[in-house]
Order: sequence, then structure tokens, then C-alpha cells
Amino acid sequence: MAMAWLELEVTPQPAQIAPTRAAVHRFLCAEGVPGTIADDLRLVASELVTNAVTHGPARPVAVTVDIAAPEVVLAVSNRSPRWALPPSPWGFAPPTVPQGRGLGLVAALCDQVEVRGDDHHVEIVCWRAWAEDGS
Amino acid sequence: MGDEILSATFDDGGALIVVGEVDSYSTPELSARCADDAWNGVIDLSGVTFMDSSGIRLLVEANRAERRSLVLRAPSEAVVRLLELSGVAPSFAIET
Repeated sequence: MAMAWLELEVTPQPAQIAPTRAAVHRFLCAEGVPGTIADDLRLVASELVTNAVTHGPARPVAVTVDIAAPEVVLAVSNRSPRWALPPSPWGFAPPTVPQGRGLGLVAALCDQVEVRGDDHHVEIVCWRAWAEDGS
Repeated sequence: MGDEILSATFDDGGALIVVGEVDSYSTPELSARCADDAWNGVIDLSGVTFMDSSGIRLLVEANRAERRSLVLRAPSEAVVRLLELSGVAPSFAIET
């Protein structure tokens, strides 16, 4: 059974978003997670890290990926208060409104999403099922 | 470090050719091209390897700008999936 763990500490700068999602994608592919699921989780990582970098304080953002078949757990945390996030479940803005789709995409691409935290810290934890036979 | 993850250039007909990754870091450069008078309103997305909701935001804003009618040309698989997932695909003119 595949089991692997990746932990990244990300400097909160917009230029760090691309290398961070690339590292997550590389890790998932190297561990045998099917390409479509790795692609989806790359998008999830990009949305969550973007939010943390854009709206969070100037403190490092922690990203962890835990592969334990039959699921991948991706978590992004930073030192924002829990209440700074909109309450889930998250949906999509209407088609003509430019903003308001990031968290909707996260919810759509994961089997389960949980928000944890308190007044000093927030963590978004995402679960996505996968099977080692590529299904 | 100048991490270039995106290139956006005009072809001879004035279409904007986008290659690389579209995210919140690279969209300001794209927005600047979309405001250029040289642009004919066609945006070629065949070379886009990654796009997140920052890209949708840019496309929705460009689509709303009254002086142009936006055409998405040959969107890559990554772009099509994103547009469909977020429900905005029907609001764009897509040229395959």
C-alpha cells in the first residue's frame, strides 16, 4: 500500500505559488497517484495557497500532502483567524461575476473538505479518494 | 529571480497567444495585454498548461469589456476542464 508524506513551508509571495503547486504535482505523480487526480489536486493546492498568500499575514504557509491509499489528504494552513474564511459549503459565483470561484473549485474537486482552526490559525484539509490500479 | 511562467504575445492578426501557466502571479501581465489596442479580442489558449480561478476572473472581466467580443481559441484540456467545472463555459464564444 502506498504511503508517503510531503511537507512544504512556503514563503508568502505570489511568485511561490507556481513552484509550490508544481512540487505537490511532482510528488503525487512520483508516488503513483493517477495523472487526472494529481492534476485536480494541483489546482486545489494553487487555490488554497493563493488564498493564504493573498489574504493571510506575512507568515509562512504550511502545505502537507499525505498519500495513504485509498486517499490523498492535502492540507494548507496559515496564521489567519478561522473566521476570516467564508463558511462552507462553498459554491460558485454566477457566470458574469469575475470573482468567487476558488473555494468552489476546491469543494468540487475533493470528496471532503474540512476547515479547522481558531483565532490565530486556520487549516483547510481536503480528502480525495484514489486507487492504485489507476481508477 | 524572474520566474517566467507565462508568455503572452500578439500574432500578425492581433490574436493574443498565451503559453504557460495562468495564476494570480501571471495574470497582471495578461491583463495588460488585454488592455492593448493591438488586441483583436481573440485569445489563443492552446498552450496554457495550467489555469486557476485567477484566469477565470481575467476572462470574465475581458468578456464584460464592451468594446470587444472575446473569443477563446483552441482552449487546452486544462482550460476546458476549469471552465466546465466552474460553470462559466456557456458564457464564452469558444473557437475549437
